[in-house]
Amino acid sequence: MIVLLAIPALPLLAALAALRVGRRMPWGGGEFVVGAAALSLIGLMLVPDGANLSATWFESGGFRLTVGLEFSPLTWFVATLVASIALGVGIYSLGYMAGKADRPRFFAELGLFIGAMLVLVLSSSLVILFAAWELVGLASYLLIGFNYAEPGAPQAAAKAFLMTRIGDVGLLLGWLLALTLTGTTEIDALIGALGQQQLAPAPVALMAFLMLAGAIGKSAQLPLTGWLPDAMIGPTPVSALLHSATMVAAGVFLVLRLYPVFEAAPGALAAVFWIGAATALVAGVIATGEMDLKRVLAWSTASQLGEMMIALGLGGPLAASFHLAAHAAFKSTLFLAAGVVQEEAGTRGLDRLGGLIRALPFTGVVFLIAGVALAGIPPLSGFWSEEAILATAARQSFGAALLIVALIFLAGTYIGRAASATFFGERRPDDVGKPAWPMKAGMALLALAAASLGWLLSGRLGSILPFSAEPDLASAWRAFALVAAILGLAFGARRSSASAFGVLPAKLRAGLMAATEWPTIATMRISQLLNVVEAALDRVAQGIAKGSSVIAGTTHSAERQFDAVAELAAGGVWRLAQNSERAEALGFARGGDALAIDIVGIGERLRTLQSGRLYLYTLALFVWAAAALVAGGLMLWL
Amino acid sequence: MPEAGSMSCMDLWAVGPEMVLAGLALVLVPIAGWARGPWRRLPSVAAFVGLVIAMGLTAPMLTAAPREAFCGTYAVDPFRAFYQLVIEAGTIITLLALASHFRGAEQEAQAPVALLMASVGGMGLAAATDLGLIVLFLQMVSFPSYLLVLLVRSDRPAQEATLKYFLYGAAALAVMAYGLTFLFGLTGSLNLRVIGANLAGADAAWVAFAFGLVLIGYGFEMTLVPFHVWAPDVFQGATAPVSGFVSVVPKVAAFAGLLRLLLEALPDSLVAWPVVLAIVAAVTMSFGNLVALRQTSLKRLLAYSSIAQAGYMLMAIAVAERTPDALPAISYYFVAYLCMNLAAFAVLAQVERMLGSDELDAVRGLGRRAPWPAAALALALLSLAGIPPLAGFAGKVFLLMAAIEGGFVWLAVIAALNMTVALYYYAVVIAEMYFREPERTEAVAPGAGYAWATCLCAAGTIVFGIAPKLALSLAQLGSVMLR
Repeated sequence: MIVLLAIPALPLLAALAALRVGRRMPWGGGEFVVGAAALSLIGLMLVPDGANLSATWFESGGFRLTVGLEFSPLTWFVATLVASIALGVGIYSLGYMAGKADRPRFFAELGLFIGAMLVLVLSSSLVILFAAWELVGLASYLLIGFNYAEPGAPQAAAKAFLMTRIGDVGLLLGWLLALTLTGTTEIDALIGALGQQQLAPAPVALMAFLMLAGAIGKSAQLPLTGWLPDAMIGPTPVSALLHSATMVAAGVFLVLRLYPVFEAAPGALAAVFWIGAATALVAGVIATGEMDLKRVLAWSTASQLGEMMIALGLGGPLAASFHLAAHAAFKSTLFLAAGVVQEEAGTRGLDRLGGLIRALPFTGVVFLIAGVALAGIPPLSGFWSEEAILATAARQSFGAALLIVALIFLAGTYIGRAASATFFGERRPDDVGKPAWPMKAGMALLALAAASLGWLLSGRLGSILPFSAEPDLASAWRAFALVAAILGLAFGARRSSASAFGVLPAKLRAGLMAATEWPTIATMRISQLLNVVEAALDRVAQGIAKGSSVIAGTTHSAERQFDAVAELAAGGVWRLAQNSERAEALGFARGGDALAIDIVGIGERLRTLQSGRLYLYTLALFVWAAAALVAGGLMLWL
Repeated sequence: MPEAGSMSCMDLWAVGPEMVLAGLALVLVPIAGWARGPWRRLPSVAAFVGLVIAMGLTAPMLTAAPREAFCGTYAVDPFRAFYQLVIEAGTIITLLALASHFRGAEQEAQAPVALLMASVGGMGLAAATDLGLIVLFLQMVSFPSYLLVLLVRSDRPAQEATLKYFLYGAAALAVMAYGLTFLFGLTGSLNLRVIGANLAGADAAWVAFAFGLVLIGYGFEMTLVPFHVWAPDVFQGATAPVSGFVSVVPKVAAFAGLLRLLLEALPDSLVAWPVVLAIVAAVTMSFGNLVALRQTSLKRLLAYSSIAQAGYMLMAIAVAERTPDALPAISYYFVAYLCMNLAAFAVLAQVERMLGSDELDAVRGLGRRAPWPAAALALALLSLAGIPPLAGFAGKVFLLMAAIEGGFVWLAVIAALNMTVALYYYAVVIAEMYFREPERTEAVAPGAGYAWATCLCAAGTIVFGIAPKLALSLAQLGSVMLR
């Protein structure tokens, strides 16, 4: 049990350690994070299947909110994947961050992310899943904005945070709905209730759609795609770990984890398919025209995640999990290689790169292995997982299978184009350095996985995960897909320095960005409008205030008039008194009575008390109040 | 109703905490005027001790059986005890921050007196079940608050803010008192429960009219749109700890008062108040969040943020009669709101005191200049935005749950969308602190009072977020109301 808890806790502790003592460590705290990832991976091997650590967080009015981690085949599989990729990327980061400023902060944020991501995949409770979901979003925000001095980085970070949070609203409402339906946040209880047909179909469908909104945001599916390419401004290990392999796959994982909910809601499952299909196609086409190496990979990520959604929508969770694993391996490898290119060549622009295979042979080979895996060439991982998806699609309909083949062709095109523009042709940057050994080690580890994972998992995954196996693929489709992949690679390689499909990708991209940005712009417009309204209200209020102060002024001057009149009267009285005094003095002989003088003296003293500071007035008031209070108290007691 | 005027319905223990604080305030008036030099600290110390004693006297009422005191004009029930505890806690934290803020200044001695008076008014409002007392206590919360805003008398914005606050308050409270007279006219009683019993047969149009007028007064204190106009100017014009106080204590008091009025005097959703309040809640949260998006003054930003937060809380008031989970949800949220909002204002006070500005660029690079205050501010803002595992997240979950259970699903959806919009302006401040190079080298104004206030609030934000049970069980205790 303690091991289960330690799996996500270790990276979090490593984050703290990196923050506290990272400054004094040779790798800037990275050694903690790498060590923690390795230990978590070992822990995942040690924990027996079915281990469960669950407790009631609190109960409120018939609702039981639970917290807990659970070791089911699916959670184990994805957690292992996350920890492995984190280990590879962590090792790479040691070299990538060497000599850079602020290393402890970087590794602390990376550790926070790894811990939160492991909690997300292992959680047995929707509330913990949601909390981790938000925390990985926060970590992503911090990591994208890591190089905050770079122009555009804070904006990209905010964009990513906000766009994914739009989807999070769906997830939040979705799990609240699940809580009102089942009375608990336990995922197993929800799935159990679904299995026994205890829930009405309409709320289940609503819940599925709400959860889907969360998945769309996190996995950068349409219409919430725009943040992912912009997030590429973050450090490359971040792009590799968060924005290709793990965090963005959380949306796919969510659908997998709650697959019975979606199965119970055919409408939502259809929506998963259509959204996945639209994203895969649009992002795939855009990727063929992008001129920035990392952004090509980002669009490709969105497209590949769309492919997983297609598989899920067509009823092939096993194929989707397979592709999730394969994609995590080859895409993170591609990113790490792209990071080397950027670091050593100083640019990511495809038009400014070329012929780097001679300067960076190791990186080039790694990129090519992962690229060919992505394209779906046997025996590398992508081939096997694409084949699984194609089998699922072919079982459903001819059109769906054709779509998958088209996507395979697109993938070949954009990756062939990126590879040829970067590593072949005329050698462009002259002064190209060599990557440090940890970078090579990290890349080698992940490239090995990208190459072998498909062959390792093919046929065995069905016995690991509790999903029904996909049917066998007709050999005609297999050959068709292979031809499409090779054609795509060849076509892409020939179009290395230009867009593969003319202006279409650029137009699509502009349209997509505009479409996803209009809610933001509209919100800001409304905000501005409301500010104007607010200012107008404020002016009205000020008018009232000024008006009343004018009235107050008038009353004041009126009062002064009264005052003058009173003074006049007082003067008259005074004179009268003086005259009468004189008369008195004349009438009653001169000199005053000693008593009269005394009284006048008391009067004088009283006068200062009366006309003294306002403060004394209020004091008298309080003394009165206190006296009344004391008197009241006494009366009560007597 | 018990025999009016007889000595038998006097029950001084029922007002123990109020007596302690009011008596202390009276004693402190002359002391505050005469205190010079180091003696200026005395009123703060005395007020602190008094507040702790008052908390000790209030706490036992959390488990007391509900009863009435003073011939039915005053309630002794757990509901009142809970809200009074929140008010006392908020006052203590403000007192800590103010003690540092006015250290050695003329106002150091005066501020605690006004604070005590305002908190007595707030505490009374949470307990009053009589229309006359409600009017009295509403004035009693407001007047010391005006004084607090005007503490720095030479400050022109503060003068303007006070004038605005005062005029708005006077008008709103007058309108409200007018509305209360209708309730009296319709039922012939000042007692909320008697009104509730007699109002059932009354003409609905007049009841609706009276309710509309009464809502204006409470809406003013609670900063509900469109009665919120004073809030941004007052928050900006006042010193930051006072802004924090005004954003918490009058609001808590008004929420408690409104809840009592609705549940005791307008039972069975008379005049469809749940729907009215749901609409006001939706408008308030959307308006507050949308306007906050473009603010550059941090105090104004927090003002609009607290307007939006009031909208979230009103959401649960709207369903207060439909689900038993609504009252604990509001109560819990107030604990969370107190922690996160006062922490934010305490840090802001330090920044403002050091740099003389509360513009967004005053916190630029604060993460480097002053790591701990910056971390506390970031924590408070993330909690306000509802990021788990902080108290604001759990609080928002309870509120949303209550709204969904109460049948206002559309309101829950609007609120959830609002929480996304709100994240933007909180994130802008965090980005300013951590993603920008500092342009100045000053840290923040030091002070033990600030540090204590910030630490207590930050600890509350984390602890109540991770273990909501602690505050929620208190909130559940405190949802028993004399009816």
